[in-house]
Amino acid sequence: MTNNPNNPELPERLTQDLRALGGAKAPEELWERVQLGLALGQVEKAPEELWGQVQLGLALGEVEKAPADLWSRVQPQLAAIAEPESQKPAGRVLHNQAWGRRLSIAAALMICAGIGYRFMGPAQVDPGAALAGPVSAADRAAFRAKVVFMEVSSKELSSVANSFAEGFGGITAEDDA
Amino acid sequence: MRPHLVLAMSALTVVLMGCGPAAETQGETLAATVGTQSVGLAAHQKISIPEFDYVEDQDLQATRELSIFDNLGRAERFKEDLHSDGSGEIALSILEYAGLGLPTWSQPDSQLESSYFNRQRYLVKYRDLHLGSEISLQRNFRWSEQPGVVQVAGLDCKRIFAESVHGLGNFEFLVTVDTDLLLGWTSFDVQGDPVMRMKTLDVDFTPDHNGVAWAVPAVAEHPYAGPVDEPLLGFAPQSPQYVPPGFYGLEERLLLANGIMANLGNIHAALYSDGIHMLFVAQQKTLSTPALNVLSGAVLVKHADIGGIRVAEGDLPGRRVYVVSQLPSEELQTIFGSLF
Repeated sequence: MTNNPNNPELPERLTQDLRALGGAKAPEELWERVQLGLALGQVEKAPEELWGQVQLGLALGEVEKAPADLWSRVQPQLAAIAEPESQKPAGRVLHNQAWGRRLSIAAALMICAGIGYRFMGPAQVDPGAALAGPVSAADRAAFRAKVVFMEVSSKELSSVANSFAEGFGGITAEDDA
Repeated sequence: MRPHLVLAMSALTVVLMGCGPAAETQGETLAATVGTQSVGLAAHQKISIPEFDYVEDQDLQATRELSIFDNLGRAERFKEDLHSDGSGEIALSILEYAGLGLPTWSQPDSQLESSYFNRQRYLVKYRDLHLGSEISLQRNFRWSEQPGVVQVAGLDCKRIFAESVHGLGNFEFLVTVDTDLLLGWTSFDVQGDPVMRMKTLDVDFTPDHNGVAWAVPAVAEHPYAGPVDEPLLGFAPQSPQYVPPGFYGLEERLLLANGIMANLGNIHAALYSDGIHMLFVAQQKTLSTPALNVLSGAVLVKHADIGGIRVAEGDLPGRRVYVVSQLPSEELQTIFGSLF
C-alpha cells in the first residue's frame, strides 16, 4: 500500500471491494493478527486520515453497506487468510490476547505506580489550589465542536484506555468474558 | 428512570432541597408525593464539611461488596477481601463474583482475579472515594446528614450526603458514628441513578495478616518536572483549557511506559478533582506514524462506558490522548476539545 495521505484516491475496483465490505465483520483471528502485525511493525498501516474518514463515514452512516449475500462469498476467503498458528513465524508472534493482556497489565501497573497514592486527604493537596471557574456555554460548545465523539464498545478502545478505566474501578467481568 | 429509583431519587431530591440555602440545621419531616403515594421523609440536616478516616489507614481486615450498575439498574457485584496494616501496606483480592443482575455468587475466573491483583493498590487508594481539599468540598458540594443511625458491618453509622452544586452527580457516605471511618459509599450519575456502591459486610480490627502478600508498586515514575521532561515524553503536553467548574489540578506525573515495553510511548498523566469526582487526562507519544483522524477540522474521538467509568481516546498530532472520568460524556467531549 502506498502511504500517501495526499492521494486518498484508491483504484476503483479496490474502492468497490472495500465498500462492499461495509457492515461485514472479519473473523476475530484475522483481526487479532492484523493488530499484532501493526503492533510489531510487520504490516504497513493505512494512512491515518483514510482510517479516520472510513470510521467517520461509518459513524455518520455515509458508507454503503454490503449486499446481504456478499458476506457469504467473502467469508471463505477471509477464513483462508486467517490461517492457523502454524503459519506464524515461530518465536516472533505473540497471540494478540496475550499481547493485549501484557499491555493491559503494564498500563495498570503504571497507573498503580504513577498516580494513586499522593493525593489522598485534605492534608496532602495544595490547600490553596485554584478551582476552575465557570466557562460560557458558547465556549464549551466551541470545544465540543472540535470533536466528533463516537461511542464504541470497550473492545474498540486500546488496551491502555481499557486499563485506565479499570484502574478507576471500571472493572467488569462481563466484558472480560 | 427505574421505578425504585424514582422513589429513592425523589426522596433524595426532597431532602437535598432541604439542604439548600434556605434550609437550616433543624431536622424536620417533609411529605413528598411519589407517583400516587405520599411518603414521609426525615429531612437531612445541613452539616459542615465532614472528615473521614479510611480503611487503608487502619489495621484491619474487611469483607466488602462493590456493586457496579448498568443503565438498566442491574449490578455486577464483587465481594472483596481487604487487608490493611495501618502503616501503608494493603492487599485487596476478590472472593466472589455475581454477574449482571444475578443473585448468586460464584468463584471469580482467573482473569478477574488477575485484574484485581494488578490493580489492588489503585482500587483502594483511587477507586474508593476520598475527600479532597477543604475548599473544593466547601464550594462544590452541599453537605447534609440523615438523622439517626444505620448498621454497617455491625457498627453504628451515619448517612452523609454530598450534592454537587454543579450538577455533576451526588454521593452518599456511610461513616461510623464513633470514629468517622468510611465503611460505605454510593456514587450517583447526573440523572440520580447509582453508578457504584461499596458497602462493608464485616470488619475485624484485630486481624490476622499471616500469609498476606502485600501489594507492591513496580514501575518507574516521577512527578512531571515541566519542560525539562519533554525530551522523555517526545512532545509538550497540553493542559486542557476547560475542566468542569470547581475542579483543580492534583498532580502531574511522568509514567515511563517505554521502559516497560519498547512500543509504548511515555505518558504524561494529569489528575484533577472537584473534591470527590476524579478526572484523569493522559497524553502519550504515538511511536508510529503521527495519527490524526480529522474531517472538516473535527477530530474523531472514540469513547466507551466501562463499568461505570467513561473513557475517551483519540489522536492529536504526535500524541494519543485519553480522558477518563465518571463525569458525563459531554464533559469528556468538552475537555478533549479544549486540549488542542
